[in-house]
Amino acid sequence: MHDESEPTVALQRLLDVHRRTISFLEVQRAYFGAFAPPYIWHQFDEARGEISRIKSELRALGVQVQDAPGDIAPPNPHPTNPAATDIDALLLVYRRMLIDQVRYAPQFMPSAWGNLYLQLTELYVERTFIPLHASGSNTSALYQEASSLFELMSKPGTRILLEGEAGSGKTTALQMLALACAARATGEPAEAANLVAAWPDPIPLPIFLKAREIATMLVSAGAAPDGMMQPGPSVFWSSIERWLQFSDLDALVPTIQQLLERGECLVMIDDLDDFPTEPQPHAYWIALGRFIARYPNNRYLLSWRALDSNAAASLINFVRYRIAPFEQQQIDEAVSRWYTAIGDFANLLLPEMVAERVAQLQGALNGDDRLLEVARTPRGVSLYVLAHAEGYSFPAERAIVLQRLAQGLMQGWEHMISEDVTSRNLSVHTPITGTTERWLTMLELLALAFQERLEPGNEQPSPLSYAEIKAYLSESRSIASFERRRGGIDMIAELIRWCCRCGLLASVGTESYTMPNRQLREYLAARALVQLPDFPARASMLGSDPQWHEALQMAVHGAKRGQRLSSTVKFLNILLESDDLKDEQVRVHVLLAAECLLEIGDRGQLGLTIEAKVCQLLTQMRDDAECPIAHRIQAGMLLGRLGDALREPELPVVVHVPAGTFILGYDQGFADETPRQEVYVPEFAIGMHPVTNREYKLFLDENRAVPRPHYWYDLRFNNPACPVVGVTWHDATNYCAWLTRRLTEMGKLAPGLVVRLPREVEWEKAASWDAQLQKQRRYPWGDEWDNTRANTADGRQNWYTAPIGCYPTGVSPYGAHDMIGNVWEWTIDQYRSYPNSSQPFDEAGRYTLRGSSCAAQPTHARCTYRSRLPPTAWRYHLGFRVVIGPPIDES
Amino acid sequence: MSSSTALIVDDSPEIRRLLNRSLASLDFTIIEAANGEEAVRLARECCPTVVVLDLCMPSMDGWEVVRHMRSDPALEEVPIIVITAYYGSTTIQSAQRAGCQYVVAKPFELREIVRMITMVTSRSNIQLPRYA
Repeated sequence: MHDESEPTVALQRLLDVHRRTISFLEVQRAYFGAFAPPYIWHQFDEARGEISRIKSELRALGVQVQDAPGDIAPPNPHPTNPAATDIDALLLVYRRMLIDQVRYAPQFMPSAWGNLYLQLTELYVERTFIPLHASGSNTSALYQEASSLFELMSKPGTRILLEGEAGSGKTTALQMLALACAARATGEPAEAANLVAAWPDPIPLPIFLKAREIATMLVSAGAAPDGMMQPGPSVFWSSIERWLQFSDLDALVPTIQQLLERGECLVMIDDLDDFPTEPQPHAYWIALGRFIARYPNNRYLLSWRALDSNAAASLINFVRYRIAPFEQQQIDEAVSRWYTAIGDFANLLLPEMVAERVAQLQGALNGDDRLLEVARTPRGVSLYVLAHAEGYSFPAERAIVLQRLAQGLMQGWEHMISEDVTSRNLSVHTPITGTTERWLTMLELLALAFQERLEPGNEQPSPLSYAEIKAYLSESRSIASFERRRGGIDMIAELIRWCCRCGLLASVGTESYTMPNRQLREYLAARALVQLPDFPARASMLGSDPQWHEALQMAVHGAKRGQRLSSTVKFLNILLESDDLKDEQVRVHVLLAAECLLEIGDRGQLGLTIEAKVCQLLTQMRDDAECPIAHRIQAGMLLGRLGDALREPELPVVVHVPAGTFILGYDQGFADETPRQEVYVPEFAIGMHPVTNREYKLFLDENRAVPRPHYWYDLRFNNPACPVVGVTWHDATNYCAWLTRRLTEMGKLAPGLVVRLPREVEWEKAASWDAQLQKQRRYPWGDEWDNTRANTADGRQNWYTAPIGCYPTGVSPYGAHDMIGNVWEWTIDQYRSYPNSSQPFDEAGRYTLRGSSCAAQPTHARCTYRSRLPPTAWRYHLGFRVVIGPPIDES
Repeated sequence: MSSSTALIVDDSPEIRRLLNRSLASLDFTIIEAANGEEAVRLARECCPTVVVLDLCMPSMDGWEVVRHMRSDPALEEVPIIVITAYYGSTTIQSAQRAGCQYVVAKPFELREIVRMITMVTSRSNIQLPRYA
């Protein structure tokens, strides 16, 4: 008797199993005759491969093994080639079927208009792929050659494993490649065919499979590997076959096999992480490796989220690439393409509306870091565009996108637990149901717990153990009822696994997890927070910690939508209890209260008391030179967004400069500032501040035909209290002409006066002349440079404009603000040398700019410095201020 | 006289001469500056089509020239090709943040500079600097 555990016995038994398989297959082959389906040949191959392996192992162990007749393949095993003409027709049908399957963009969420069925070719934005090195050596990843997918796949035999998180556009890239290859043969859609125009012939036949569906198709075909047998390479063949059967293209099976043999296919399998983990974790991966070894010369493009780093070990000779997040330019292009496609779909939007909406959304996404972070993926962009087209505005309603993002992730979970994965139509989605929301509600408390585990200076919360997470999730009744219905399956374990797969949770170390996505965590925590009975008190305690501000703002936003205004009012009142602005905590509370007020949107229901108090405190803060500049600017921004009722926007605020002489120029500067000389300037009044976005908006509102300035929609520059930028000299003079008419009609302008751009001498006198001491100042405040008195790159470093009035100590003797820094200002004068210059010049056609800007360096941020531009030019740091004075004689 | 002007800024007269000679084929009017102050003054006066700038110079260095040019609207869009002996990812990143997209390692091949000048002068717009 042999011992059962002896390896030779186990091998002998396995040999018998495979030989019985051969006999069974022989019967099958006899039954089908010449029409035997190819999977039979594959299973022959597999079984014979195993037999030969086992025999050599047994021989190595010194066991005598007899050869059996079926151990070696008989000659000519493959079916005959059907008539070529029929095949061409069938391949055409196949390609058209594939085009129909992949031509629509995968929609992550249904929109308010239902499924939009948008064409992939209209939406596709070329992506960048960054090579990853298996060795893990991080040799300057920044400068590695990145390339486009169509270049990468152009060479026959290419094998690429593409990595990217959920929503990063992997599926779209695969679909586009399938579409392009199919379209090249059928001739349409031509845009797609052009993408592979440079590929050498023959263009490979695309085969597009989804890992999740491979298992499902095998189950429905009754061909799933059972517990005894490991899945072999034939599972891939069977699913290709099954897929062809769905479309009545069974007759194409032998042809496709031949093409695979010849290496003329492009095999794409999407989302490899979805391979079944039964009967063994990596069995399908190993089977795929063997399938590829069987047909080595084809192009392979596989995508995955890189969840299980060990899984890919069986994929030999694959180059790994990562899909790069969208750059700003790609976001702009994606927004424009999505919006145009939605506009075109059933004429949902008028074409002239689309252009403005696109500019609005692009400006919002590029100008707010929170929005930008989500918009780095195609999924993020599509959610923004759909919500924006429905009428949501950003960043005010950013919670809606986070809600939809979270809902989408949990919808995937619902699909999984209901095992509803049989549909092959790539763009059909079921609507969000109440249960999706219920899953989100379950995760709220967990998010709150993670948010509470944030430590100062650390963006990631400290991890929670599996048991702790389980405790939070078990509080929900939903889980218990699901577990009962599904016969005691550990739903919590499943849910945690799903959350790890979709990126909501990430495993750190053994059995402990964190919630890495900051925005989703804050959104979910905010939902939990607002439900708490002690929300106002709790929220005001958290209000001192800036890491909570975003969550608190979203909580207030949620409270407004949930009709819980009274708790918000309580919260705001607690925040505004103290008005001692010398205290940093008080300032932080006031700023938070203002942010929260903005979240409420329509503040009519709150009454005016809170808003008036907030505005008053913010104004104090902005005007207080003792207050840190960051707080002053934030206060100015918030005042701008809150409407700042204290300013009357209809009339320009001006300072008066009486007639008289002053000293122009600077002999130690550049040649164009010389010679220093005394000049007489008649009386005039000059704008106390540069013209703001709010003032310019009045002009635009009354003159619909006037084009919006550049950066008009850019959140970084379009705060109502900030100077208008991106205007040309013509825009500025048109504004002045309009204001002249307007003030004349209102009877506010004395006869003989106009509103116009300042002359250089007027500008310089208003900026630098101290009439009391009859002395010229180098800077509006004196002769010494002080970077706290003006918004320049020397002080702030971020090169953005600041709201007007934030630099009260930088005021000129006549009372004009921002004469240095913030924005360059157009003047009415062309760029010429001063009278009596030793180096005369005349650049007629270019207009002089004064005042330097937020990008300025101390080397030239002085009152006498001159720059110039043609009248059609615009810059992000170039605005203007007005003068009220006598008109200038053009001659 | 050609309408394109190249400003060459380097404290070494040999390198200026070398660059001057190799750019002659491109039909540029060449102006030369031996230090940062002179570079800024000449740039303001002539608004060159392209600037080839050595980063390491005594007194006002190349970075200051870049900062000045990028904050003056008249010079903001003039492409700057930076030459540096300290070629590395930090320098490249700093240069890109400051608004120079083109960085060449020293010692350089003249052909490389000529190719780059042809490329940058054929583009109309450069991107605004990106700030970290």
